Amino acid sequence: MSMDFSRRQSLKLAAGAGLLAVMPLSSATALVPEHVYVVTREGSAGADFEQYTKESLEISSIRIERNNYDSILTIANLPKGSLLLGLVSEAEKVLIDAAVYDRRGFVHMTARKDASISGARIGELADLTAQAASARSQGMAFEKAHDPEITKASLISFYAYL
Amino acid sequence: MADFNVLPDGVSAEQFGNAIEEYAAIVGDENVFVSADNLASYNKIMIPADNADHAPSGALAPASVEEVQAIIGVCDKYTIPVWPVSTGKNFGYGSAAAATRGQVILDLRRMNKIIEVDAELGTALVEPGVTYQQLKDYLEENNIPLWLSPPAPSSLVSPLGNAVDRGVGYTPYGDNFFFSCGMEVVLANGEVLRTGMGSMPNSTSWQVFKWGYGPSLDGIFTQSNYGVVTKLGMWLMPQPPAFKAFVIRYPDDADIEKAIETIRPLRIAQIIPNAVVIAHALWEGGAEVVRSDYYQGEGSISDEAVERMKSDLGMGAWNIYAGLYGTPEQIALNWDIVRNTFAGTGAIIQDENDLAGNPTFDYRAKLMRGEMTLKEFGLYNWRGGGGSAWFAPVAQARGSEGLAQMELAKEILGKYGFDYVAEYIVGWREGHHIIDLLFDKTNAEETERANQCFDELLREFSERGWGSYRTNIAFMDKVANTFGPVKRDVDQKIKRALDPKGIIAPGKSGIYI
Repeated sequence: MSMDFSRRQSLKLAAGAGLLAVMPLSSATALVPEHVYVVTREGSAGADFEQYTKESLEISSIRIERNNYDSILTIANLPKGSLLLGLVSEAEKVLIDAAVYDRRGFVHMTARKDASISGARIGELADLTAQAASARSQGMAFEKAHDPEITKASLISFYAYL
Repeated sequence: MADFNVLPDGVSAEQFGNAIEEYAAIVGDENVFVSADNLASYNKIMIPADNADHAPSGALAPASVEEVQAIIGVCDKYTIPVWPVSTGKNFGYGSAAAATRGQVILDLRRMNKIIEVDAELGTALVEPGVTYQQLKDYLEENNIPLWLSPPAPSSLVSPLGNAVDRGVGYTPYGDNFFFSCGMEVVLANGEVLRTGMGSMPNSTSWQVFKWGYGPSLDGIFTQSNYGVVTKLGMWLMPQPPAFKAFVIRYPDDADIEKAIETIRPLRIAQIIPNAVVIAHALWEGGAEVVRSDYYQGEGSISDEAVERMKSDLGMGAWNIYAGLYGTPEQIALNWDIVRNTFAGTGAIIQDENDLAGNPTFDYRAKLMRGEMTLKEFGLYNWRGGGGSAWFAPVAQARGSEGLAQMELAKEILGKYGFDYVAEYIVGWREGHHIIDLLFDKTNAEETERANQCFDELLREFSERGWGSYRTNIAFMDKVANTFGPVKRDVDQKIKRALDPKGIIAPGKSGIYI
């Protein structure tokens, strides 16, 4: 099933606001996030992703220092039902996978992009990711977006319900 | 009847459905996983293999030995194979996935009790789900001055899982199975065996004397499928009064010969008592920078690009990390011996005075004093694409062997367009050569090429007598074959004796009934 949410609408849905008004009560209701967290690293495309998301959502940030990944493990302590979003490197993604796996969750990749991605495209990715998370909470599928040719180290946008 | 994605071989949907109901009665519905969503994380593997070949039928999360026994009983009744995992973080060896399709993952993370730590004897008894971080937190909270010896994925992984898979850490207690003492194992008939002194009722020496009486059995429960290890005794290193980390750098790839020849006598004599790491520039740099910043051409990275990276990062072609432990006086004496031994060999010797604040040195120093750090995960940024397979041949700690292994590995990796991202770990008299075959798993052609490359590495190294000490779930049969038919036959006979229906982890280390 395809979806066509406006940016603001989709982000509100991802945050749970208004969700009950548009969807029937189902097991998906349990996935409505009370808290939204964005994994981010200063000076990276992920920080831009955080800023775009922050424009429409009340979020908390999980900050990673460059090449110091231990802070990712704070995911273990996030409240149950939280939504986790981000645009991260391959290494960060591997560790987020591991931490989310420990919470019996699963990381859903929404796109894999070249590291030279522009600011405007990062905004689109933030939208896309929130829409995908929202679709997921209603039991709908959302197609991933991949760059056909990635010439530099890649970045991965994702969401995960904890 | 539930719609199952993958059924165990020879088990009908109805039988599996009945088994699932019985599992749920043991561990509760919330600890039985059969939906595609819930099983996805157990099928997320980084190795160059088709994930479908390793897809699970289900996963179960028991919380006690009694629940494991009951699960094994149901498996026996329906002939359902179970694949035990401790924390499932065996990244370059296959993560939490099974060697064959259609097994039920026995996820032991909920069994996470630290049963005992004896501060005076320096021992611990832990369950499979305990992580290094959990154990370290316990030691700190209770002000117990004992060190752990975690592997590079450190805080995430299980001491029991690492020891049972014969993994290594970087302190003087680096060979984690060597420094284990006593196991509890649930056998395929549901009985519980305690090895060593643990079989004797009221024994007080289960965690202090390894051998017990009669044949010593611990080894047959490592890298095997003869039982489910549910407890492990560990020896923990007393925190020394002082510790000194240092690095010795050699400029050229061919210097691996000199590096090993110079370090070996110091290692065997225990002047340097820890598991020494000799890291190649691409292992060191690969965790710091990304490949495309230095090279965007075809094939393996060029020598010129590696030289630029080494220059930028101040690294040698080979970087030997080692530590000294003891009193300040002992360390001062041994430091003189180390410096004198390496003087005139063309090496640069650096310590904390030269490298204060250097993140790579800090990372290695942390590992050598048993602390947690995830820095090495930066390697996954090097090439991108999330593919990783650890090739791990062992050889004598002899310079000529190290050099020959490096040359062969570079030749084969180059043929397939991959980089030589490698390190040697000098355990005592042997060198574990760890090569991280990094590739883009989102690219089917590259994944297939990585598979063929791994296959050729295995074939060529084996023909020269260099066996793998450990391998990933897709290559377990092939590695088993390299150790010859008699070894495989004996492994199988033990399997048939202890697990006649083959319900515990079929395919582990190439062992089937």
